Amino acid sequence: MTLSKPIPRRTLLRGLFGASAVAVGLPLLEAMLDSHGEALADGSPLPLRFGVWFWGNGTHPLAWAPQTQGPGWEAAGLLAGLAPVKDAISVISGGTLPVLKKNNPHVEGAVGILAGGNPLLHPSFSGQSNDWDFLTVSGPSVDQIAAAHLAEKTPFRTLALAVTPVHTADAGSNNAPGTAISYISHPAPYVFNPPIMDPSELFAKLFNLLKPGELEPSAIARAKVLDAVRGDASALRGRLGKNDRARLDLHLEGIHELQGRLTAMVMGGEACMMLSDPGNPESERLRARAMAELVAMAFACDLSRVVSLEFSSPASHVDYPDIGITGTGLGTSFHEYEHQKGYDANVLKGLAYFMELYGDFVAALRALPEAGGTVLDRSCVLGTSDVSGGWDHAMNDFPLLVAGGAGGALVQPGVHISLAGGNACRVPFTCLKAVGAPVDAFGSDQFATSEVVPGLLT
Amino acid sequence: MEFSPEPAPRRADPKQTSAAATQLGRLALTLTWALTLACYQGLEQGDGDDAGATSTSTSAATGDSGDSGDSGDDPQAIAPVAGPTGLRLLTPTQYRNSVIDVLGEVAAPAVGQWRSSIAAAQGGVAVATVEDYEEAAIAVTAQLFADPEARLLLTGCEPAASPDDPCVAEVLTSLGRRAWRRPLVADELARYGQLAADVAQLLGGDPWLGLQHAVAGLLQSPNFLYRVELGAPTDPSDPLHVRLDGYELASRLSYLVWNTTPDDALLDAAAAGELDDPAGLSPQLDRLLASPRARDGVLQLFVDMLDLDVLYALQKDPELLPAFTPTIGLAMREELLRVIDDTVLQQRDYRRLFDTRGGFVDAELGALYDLPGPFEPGFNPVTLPDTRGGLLTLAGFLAINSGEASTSPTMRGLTIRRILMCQTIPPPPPDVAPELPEPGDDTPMTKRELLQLHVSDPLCASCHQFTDPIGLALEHYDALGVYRLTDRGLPIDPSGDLDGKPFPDAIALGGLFTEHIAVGDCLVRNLYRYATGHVEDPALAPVITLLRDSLVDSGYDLTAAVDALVRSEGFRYATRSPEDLP
Repeated sequence: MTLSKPIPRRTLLRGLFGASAVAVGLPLLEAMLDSHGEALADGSPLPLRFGVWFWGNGTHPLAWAPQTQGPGWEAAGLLAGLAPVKDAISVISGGTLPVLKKNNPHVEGAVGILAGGNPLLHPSFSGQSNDWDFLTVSGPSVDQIAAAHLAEKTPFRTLALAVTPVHTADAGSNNAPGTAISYISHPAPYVFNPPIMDPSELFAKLFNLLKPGELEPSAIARAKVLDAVRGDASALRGRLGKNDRARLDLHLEGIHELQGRLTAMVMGGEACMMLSDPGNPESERLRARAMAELVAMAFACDLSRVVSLEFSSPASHVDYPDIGITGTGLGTSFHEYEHQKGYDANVLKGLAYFMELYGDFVAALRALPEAGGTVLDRSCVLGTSDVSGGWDHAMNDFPLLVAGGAGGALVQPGVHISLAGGNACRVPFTCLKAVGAPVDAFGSDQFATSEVVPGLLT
Repeated sequence: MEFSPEPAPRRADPKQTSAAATQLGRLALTLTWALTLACYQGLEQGDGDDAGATSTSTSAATGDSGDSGDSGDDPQAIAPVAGPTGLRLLTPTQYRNSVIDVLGEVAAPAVGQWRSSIAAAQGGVAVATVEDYEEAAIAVTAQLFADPEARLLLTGCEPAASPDDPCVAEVLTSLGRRAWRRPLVADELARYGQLAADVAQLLGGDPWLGLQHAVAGLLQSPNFLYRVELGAPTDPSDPLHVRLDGYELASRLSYLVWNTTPDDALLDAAAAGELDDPAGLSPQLDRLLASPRARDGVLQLFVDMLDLDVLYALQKDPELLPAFTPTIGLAMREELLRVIDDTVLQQRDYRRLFDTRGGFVDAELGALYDLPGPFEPGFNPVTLPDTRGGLLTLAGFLAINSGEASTSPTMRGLTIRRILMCQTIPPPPPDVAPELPEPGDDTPMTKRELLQLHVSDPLCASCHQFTDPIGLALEHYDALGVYRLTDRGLPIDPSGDLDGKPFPDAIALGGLFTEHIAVGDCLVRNLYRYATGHVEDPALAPVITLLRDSLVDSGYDLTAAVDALVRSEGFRYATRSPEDLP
């Protein structure tokens, strides 16, 4: 990807004058002008950003953590791929995810670490063995909790992305009314943010908003249509029971976000530049990198402040052709192979590769300068998985990585901290605190925690 | 919309009732229950035990007893126990069908994530889908309104840019009623009339553009995107038991039979109060069923039940299954729909689905079945080879219920028990590895031999005895549904027994399915779930029994069960859970 010339800030204020001229009687535009415009005009600090970088099938619980604790941990073994960015990363080992072991372990793990709860089972489930297709989250995932705090004013409340195909091909059918085996970003049970999988599509979505010029009247008309729709929803809402009201409220949030996007006036910082279309590379590694660079720029332009990137789904059965790990080569999928062989050389190669790709993502945020530092300095990127051991579905020594400075809230350079068997959900909770989310606790039932990881925050 | 002038006869002639088959079926049911005791946690008949509403109260019967319209000519009236109320998101197919029925022929996409009736009653939408809805509504209305003739045909009048314009009001009233499946109230008409005027002013004073955006709004409203089934209490002192109003029933009926928004005739019947009475529902049902549109609508029940949309994106290993092509899944799906249409809707006998030799093939599928051809373009009705008989042996069904490379007899048996017999097999104990051992190349073994090794433990065998015989009977068909004589070079033994009845092969197994009471019982459970969007509560057992009896007594005519359902309390009433009171 190449950077083209910076866009002068003035032309980014698209619609500013057009909007004030034509948007008579459209309260949304007024609101956006005030808050969003002033935020940049008064030189207030750049925003914080939150990311989840998720991969399926975990790591090797006995072998992944660095040898020494504290700063200066050595990026070796499975973490060798983090070497170029290790200063920006803290490793939290020794956490245990207290799953009930009642349902599919991959879903229990993903829902446990990301939503801090036990998965919910769809009412149509009747005891058949494949429960994973019937499970959903207990509540909003951590990225959505962060978004509620960080992202109200950005055109994209969340960037939900996936690099490899999600687990279930027939999601949404009678055989798969659940969501949590395939998707990781959930505003609520049975509601998910479908991930964008093509970097070119992500590019178009993001940078269409950066086209210079005035806001077109047609966009204002579309926003006005959504105002009428909101009126309908408000009238209907009062007649609904609790569950349906919650469903409709999320729908309304989506309408609100879309109105903002239609009338967006992008006012990103000095680092904001138009990128060129990366296309849709066949290599999964290049796809992941292209997405990382687009995310970095989306952060710099304040198009979004929250990303959920699913490199592979919980229990993913995909191949990794970039490193020669394919079903044809192994005789079965990587995950099946893992189940059959345990931690042999092929499996360890795959596990190291996942870490390398997390490192790529962190590197992309660090490559983009911003306000005397980098975009990574104002971000917190949680790297985690669905299980600790893909081979035996272990939940001890859960893989947890935290990258970035979160505007000075996270200790830098990064450290290695052991939770010594403590609740792994302390790490997502600490990330929420790092970006200033107004939460006193995270998770429910046996996952609930109000303790931060000692030594991770400054 | 066109209807055939005379509704085809639907209800079964009692003379045709197959008492013998019924008797046999009930015997089989008893047999199933006796045998299930062997499986370590017990096999459940039906699977709605902990689903849906929990209230088992029948008090609404009392509240409703004074209403002669309800009980007058409904001799099979039962206590109005019924499923939950709520919002049911349109499935992607329903969305597309409904947009086209409101606007006429437009290039409407199928938008949404929740494609089955059950999933759509629970699932919600996040912003990405809201955006898809918005873009679709804007695009289809822009397409339509860009054509001066088409838009005038839709509106019948020339709009003017004013909030009080009578043409705009008329269009919003009529299109709005189709789109929202009920009349718009004054506030709503005013809101959209104002929107049309505002947008017209914003976009250069063009009233057509204003109206276009107002119509785009109707299609993004929750009143369009969700089927609102809230009902109203029949007894003010009992707010938990509600009766669906005529418009809500019109929607239920229309989506059940046509899988789309109600037409004007149905909405008129609702407005006239005709649908408040079971006697008024039947003629409307007859009318809908007599239309050619009923085919796709009713077939959608089977798309949901058999998960046929998997075939849109069928994935198989082309090295191991060379007959696989990217288009063969589509051909398989079309064949299944045509076979279901032929047996269930044309022959009016669900049992024939399990023993028909009639198939429908294009050239590609003909080759898969090893039929000689030549074939006309499109789908040719054929008699399938004598190695095939009924749904269980059709390529599409076998391909859906297989892995990408190989078959799993246990999974095939499990799926068939679950989706065709509504029976539950408990999952394996947690410490059991679900993968079969891989035999070395020097000691090849058939799946039957591998499974026999696996189930040598009596605990395992107690459940596998219900799944494996069914799956092993289908081992002559590989993961793409291609017939094969051997598995790893070894001969295949397809014999087994179904709940105590021995069968020599898959064809005979299909024959046993035509007699098994669980098969018809499961069809009507699926019908109920499809119509209401939720799994039946145990309290709904009387409704299920009523539907099953209608099916059996009519000689397995699905439309007889549909009629019984539509007239039943389970269709016309709903139950609120106490926490869901508004």
